[in-house]
Amino acid sequence: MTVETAGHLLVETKESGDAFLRDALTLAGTGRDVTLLLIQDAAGAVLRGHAPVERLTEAGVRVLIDDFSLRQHAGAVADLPTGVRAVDADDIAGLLLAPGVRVVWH
Amino acid sequence: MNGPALLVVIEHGYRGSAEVQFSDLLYVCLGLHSRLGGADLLLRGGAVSFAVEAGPVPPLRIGARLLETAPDPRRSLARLLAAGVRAWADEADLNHRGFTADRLIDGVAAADGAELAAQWPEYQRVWFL
Amino acid sequence: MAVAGTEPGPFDWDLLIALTAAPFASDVVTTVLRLLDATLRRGARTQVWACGYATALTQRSLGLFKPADVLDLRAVFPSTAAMVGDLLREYPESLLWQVCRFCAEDRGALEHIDGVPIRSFSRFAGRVAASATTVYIGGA
Repeated sequence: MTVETAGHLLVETKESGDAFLRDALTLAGTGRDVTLLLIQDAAGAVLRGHAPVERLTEAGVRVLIDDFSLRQHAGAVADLPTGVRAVDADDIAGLLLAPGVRVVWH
Repeated sequence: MNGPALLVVIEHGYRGSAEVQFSDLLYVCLGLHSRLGGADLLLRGGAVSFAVEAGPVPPLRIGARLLETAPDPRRSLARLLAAGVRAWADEADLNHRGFTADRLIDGVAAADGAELAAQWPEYQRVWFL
Repeated sequence: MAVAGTEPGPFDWDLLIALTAAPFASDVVTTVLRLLDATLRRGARTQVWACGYATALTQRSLGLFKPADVLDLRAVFPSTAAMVGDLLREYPESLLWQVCRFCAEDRGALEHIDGVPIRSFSRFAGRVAASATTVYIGGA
């Protein structure tokens, strides 16, 4: 699976990152390429339906979730809402190493 | 790009007197501003209180020691503003904490933090401290 | 492999991770070690700038192992210093793990494993400029 991209990579690690997810929406609204990676405790928020995934994907945000974090929070790929893709550490490395990427880590 | 290279976002409020003293996140922000081509500052969450006019906090007594070197965020912010940092406090977070924009220290403006994200591409870097 | 980012290249480093969050408050250290492993495997040149309590991760006093598990005294568990040391030995030309002097001094963490230099904060901007991408992990 190739998920390397440039543009903005926003990384949410917290369970309650509402403001940061709004930032992702605003940024996507400017027409920029925005990828949102959910990792660490943020994986739990997705499983509980607390992340506005549909709004994000409709706004053009590519929503990814770290598979390792997902499993640590007792989740499985089958539990993911539509539009969220699971990625592994190698995929994340590809995102970080993409030329020109701007990473914002929350 | 003519503006500052860096947007610093601080969300965490007061984090202690004994352990922090002078080296709070506003101090870090000043260091980044001077070394990384300039910085702007957005205060969110509990950190919005740094920008609200308030009276002095009394010194802390620990045993025989009177600790008078606690962080002073308003003084730190004034130093940042004097150094040319533009600073905003998230208006929704101010309101949530019962503060109005007229209580902000001079030089700090209330702003919609989410709308500010539309400006992120103007910065080389956006760092949440 | 250093490639151009948002500033003119070439860059000495592909990635700089500025790690300021404290261990144990979240699994950020695990995340960083995973990312180091993955980026280094891809052939990237990656450096870490450890600040705050992250400066404690590579202290020499940690030794190679965590304290014993009293429920299983035969089991051994590597320390974070051991894990970082292993990566430094495996990728001697591609990984730099450095520690912020101010934060290290503030926490009494001035003795580090071989290969981990202590650097003044005045060097940080140069590290950022030398890297195609900087990931700043806050939380100090």
